[in-house]
Amino acid sequence: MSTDIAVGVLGAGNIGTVHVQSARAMDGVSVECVADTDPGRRERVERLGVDRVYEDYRALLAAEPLDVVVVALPPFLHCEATVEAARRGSNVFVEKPFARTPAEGQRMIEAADDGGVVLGVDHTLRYQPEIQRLHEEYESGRLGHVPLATATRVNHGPFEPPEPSAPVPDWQLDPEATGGGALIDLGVHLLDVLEWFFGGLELRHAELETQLNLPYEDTATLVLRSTESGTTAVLNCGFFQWERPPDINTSVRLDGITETVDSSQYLPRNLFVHASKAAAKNVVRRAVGREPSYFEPTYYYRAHFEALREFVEAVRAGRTPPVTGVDGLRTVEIVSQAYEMAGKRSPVPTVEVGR
Amino acid sequence: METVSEDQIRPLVDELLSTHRAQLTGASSVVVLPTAHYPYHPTTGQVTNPAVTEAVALSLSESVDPDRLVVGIGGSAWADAETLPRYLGYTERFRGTGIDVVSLDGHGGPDGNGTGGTAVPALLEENVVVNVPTLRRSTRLRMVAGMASLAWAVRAEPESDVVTTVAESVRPAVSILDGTYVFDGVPSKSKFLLGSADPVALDQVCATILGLDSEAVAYLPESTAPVHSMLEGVRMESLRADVHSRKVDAGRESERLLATGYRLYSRLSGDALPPQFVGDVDG
Repeated sequence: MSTDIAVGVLGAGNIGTVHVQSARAMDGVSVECVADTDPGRRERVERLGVDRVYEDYRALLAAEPLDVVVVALPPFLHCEATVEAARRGSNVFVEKPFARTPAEGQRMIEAADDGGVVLGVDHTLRYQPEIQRLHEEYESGRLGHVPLATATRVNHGPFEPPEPSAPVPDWQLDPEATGGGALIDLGVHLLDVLEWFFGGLELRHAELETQLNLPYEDTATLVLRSTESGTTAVLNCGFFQWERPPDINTSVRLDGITETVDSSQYLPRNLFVHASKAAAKNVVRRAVGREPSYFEPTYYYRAHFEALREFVEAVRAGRTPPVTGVDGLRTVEIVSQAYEMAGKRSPVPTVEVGR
Repeated sequence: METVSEDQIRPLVDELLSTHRAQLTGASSVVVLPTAHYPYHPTTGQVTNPAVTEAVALSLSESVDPDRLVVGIGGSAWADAETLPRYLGYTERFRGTGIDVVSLDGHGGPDGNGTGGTAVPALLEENVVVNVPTLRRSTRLRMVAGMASLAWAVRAEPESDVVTTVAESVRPAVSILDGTYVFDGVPSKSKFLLGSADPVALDQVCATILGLDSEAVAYLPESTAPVHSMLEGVRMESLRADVHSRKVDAGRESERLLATGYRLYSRLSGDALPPQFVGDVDG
């Protein structure tokens, strides 16, 4: 009998597929099955070697005994999929945002507790090398006390830079499906990083704006305060800027007593050069019979690989994952407070999720 | 040149329309047609600045009954014309003006019966058209200004021959080119408006502004009107200086090269292939 960790992936969009590939590359892990409503995506994961694919994730959960379920579905399905997977005894790794509302997040945590399983959240910023390096600098004390921190993440959200090549996805512009706009989509990553650095944050001010007349905020600024570290943090995020990888507009800046450091200074100076070097190293590794450092040339997908690997290893070892459901819930709670503070009620109606 | 603010736009539009007003006054109905193919911010130059569209429509409403005046939104294969007016702010901007913002869908527009063909939407065929394009570089056509913007209202991602065909069947009574922002590879706050009854001449000027030879724009025929007559009082040098010449991003070609290289690397190293390079997702 195999002792592999059996993984099923719900949702095979780009990041869901990265999870499929990541899990398949891990020792002692087998990807048993994938579910997606889109036939093209199902064909893609079949080409990658997944034997059993399902159109309906509920059918997958009903049919497959799994150690780990990865929920990479749209946010409006996170809660019901997680609750169902936990009820069936699977540990669940959830894409961000963890939930659309605190009520949903709380329900997911209760289901995991009831099922005796653990929850993890794919807050990948923690796993990006430049953020980890910044965290090391902060933890070392070299900056002294840090009164001010600024975290920024901006991209083009549901749209494409010129020239577009695919239709604007309807559900990504439906706040009931997403739980909100840039703040819940991008801001949660920054909130997770800020709480990782400074401990629990209190929301002091929220500004939510739109550049285009979208049904949710495409621009958000939060002012937060950590009573634990005495740091005031400013969080900026938005859906208004064209992003052309490898140029990614993400940064965390710490203004400390002794100096200022910015995560950008720890990024590879040239991500194409980084990719070339990482690729060359991986080819050499293969030549000497070693495994490649998966997704290393992509830089950013590597963070997803690491996040899932740490979750799977935590499940295997029976320890608490690095980013728990409670951590995920905290970010959603702050987003919810920000919507309230800015006078915008959550677009998601409060409904009881079936047990 | 100074920045053109919303307050300044209206008098400039009034002036540009003044010589065409008599012709438009007799029109039974008028369609104002901005470039609106995707939810891009007006400061990108990718779409017509709604403030310019509004100024054109309101200026026209002084001589044309608002009931006989509509703003037509074409949309594209990538963004439907029902939601675009809301995202771009047209719905709010025209609320209470008596001027309807209508989708060309259902009139044979790019998401309607015109998809894949060159059938002109009835709305454009049966009414006087006032074209309000912006100016942007394009990898496919090199330049999208008056003629190509009109073709976009008929068919998404038109080829040069479609632009030519549409230009033969839809001739705007007047075109007001919104140059408050243009896209010359990157957005440029260029702060000009041009007006002409001759779409070819207008596009000739636009090509010159972008530093393109007319021959480089396949759909552009010989000019039928002297360029300088349109630009009387405007120094071409200042327009060129404002619209810095930049190469348009060759993003799609770069992506193809990157995908090919990455697939080769993946075979050599055993590394996982990023999803976007795995292959087409057709579903």
